[in-house]
Amino acid sequence: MYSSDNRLISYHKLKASKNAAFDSAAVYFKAGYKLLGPSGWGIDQQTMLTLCSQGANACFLSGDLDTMNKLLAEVLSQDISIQDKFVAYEVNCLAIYAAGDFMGAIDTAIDVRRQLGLSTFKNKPVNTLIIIKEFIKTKRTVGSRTAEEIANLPDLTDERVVMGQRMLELLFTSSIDVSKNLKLEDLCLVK
Amino acid sequence: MYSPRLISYLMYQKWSDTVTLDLLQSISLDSDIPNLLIVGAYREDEVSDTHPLAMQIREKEEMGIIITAIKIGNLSLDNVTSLVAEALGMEDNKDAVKNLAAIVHRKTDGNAFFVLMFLRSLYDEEVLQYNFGTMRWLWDDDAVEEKLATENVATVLVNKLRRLSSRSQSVVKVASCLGAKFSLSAVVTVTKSISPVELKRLSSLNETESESESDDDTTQEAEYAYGDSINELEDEGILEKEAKNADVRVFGHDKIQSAAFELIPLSKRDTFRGKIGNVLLEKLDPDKLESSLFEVVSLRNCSMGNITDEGERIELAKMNLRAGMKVSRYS
Repeated sequence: MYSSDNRLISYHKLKASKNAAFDSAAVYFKAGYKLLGPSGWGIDQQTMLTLCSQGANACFLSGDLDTMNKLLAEVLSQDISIQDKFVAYEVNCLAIYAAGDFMGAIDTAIDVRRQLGLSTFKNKPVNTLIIIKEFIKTKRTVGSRTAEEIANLPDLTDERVVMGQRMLELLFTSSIDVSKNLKLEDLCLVK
Repeated sequence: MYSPRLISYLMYQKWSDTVTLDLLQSISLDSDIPNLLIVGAYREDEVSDTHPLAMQIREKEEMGIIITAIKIGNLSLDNVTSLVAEALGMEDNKDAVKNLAAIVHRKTDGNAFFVLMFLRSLYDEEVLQYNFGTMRWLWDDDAVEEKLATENVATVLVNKLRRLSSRSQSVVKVASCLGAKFSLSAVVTVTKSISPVELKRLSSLNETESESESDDDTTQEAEYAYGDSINELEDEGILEKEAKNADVRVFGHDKIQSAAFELIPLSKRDTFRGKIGNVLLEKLDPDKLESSLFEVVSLRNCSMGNITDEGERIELAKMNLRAGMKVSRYS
């Protein structure tokens, strides 16, 4: 979780002004959270989980970082599955990224993938030869498929894998920011 | 020479949502629509730098779209003099209204709406009277000045509302809780579902007085046609019909809505709004309830501190969750 800093606040002001609807959404989620109170997890866990996770997302987008942190802490401290905690982790990752801590975002995303039981790698520099090797492997996997063929591949239905892919998106974005000199193709080493 | 073929005039742009603004942006950038002039009106103090409208204006300027800002401002003393003279049918003799206009201008700062409301209040309080003998309006400058010494425009509006019938006051109080623009059927549903005694108890300061007063007219009011109150409010310029939807009314000005809301004692506002929300929850059919979800939840939230029943708290928490998810989908 992240404390406020100027960069993050500026980011949120921009996002919030673009997406004022999240201000209203945050009001409703916070009201629901307040109504259930601290004992809400024991009363109606699913409602409490959605209120906190979606509330954290709305607070993130509307710039209310203190409440975002509070709601994230609520979810992440619960004894529930990683799938249940996923939205909160995703918001957490985005907040870390928005604060400019790209390496922190990578670490968190890797950790989430690991908790999901998906193959992952260590967050450490690799030499160019490995990058080229993985790039060639990826290129072979794609083969001669056209963009249309790739777009027409069946939708992922395994929720766990979908979550993992969403973490990969964050990894890609953060990796670009960490290594500005990397070419996008180099990042294809991520499995 | 630039000659617009299509002129679009948009009022109250501060209410524009991002989708509407994006549409406007898309239209204004469409090269297939040549010579388009869009005129938008908004109050400067209601559109901050981070308002979506302000941001889009900046974006358009950066794109090289010609935007001309015309600051309207308040009316000058000359304007107010002309307005007062015309309102009193004395265009040919502006000197006769000079003093009155100066007083009105001083107190209203030349705000056109306030000027009209003020003139109306002078008439309502018989400070301004029409003399059928001389066939002209008469007034006493000192009386106007005296009135002005104690009343600002907000007070004038509140006093104007207080002069309405008690039923109309109840209607306008309920309407003020529903927003600047509201469904007439929702107001009628609420006012019909809460007994007049209860309605007054919930929204008046002096409960004893209001209860004894309403005891007399309970039976009458049970059959009262709410349409009369709506007509009265429309005649007074407090409410206006919306052209597109016969069920929708808007307050003539947001200051009127504020004044109507101020009629409800501060200590009772939250409970009153909570009660309105509960009535709407109970009475609206599922489709209407869904379309009024945000209003109903917001109203019920006002009195959430008074809820002691756990079942009700859970139910309202779930409604908040639904509302939050719904509004998130719009963004």
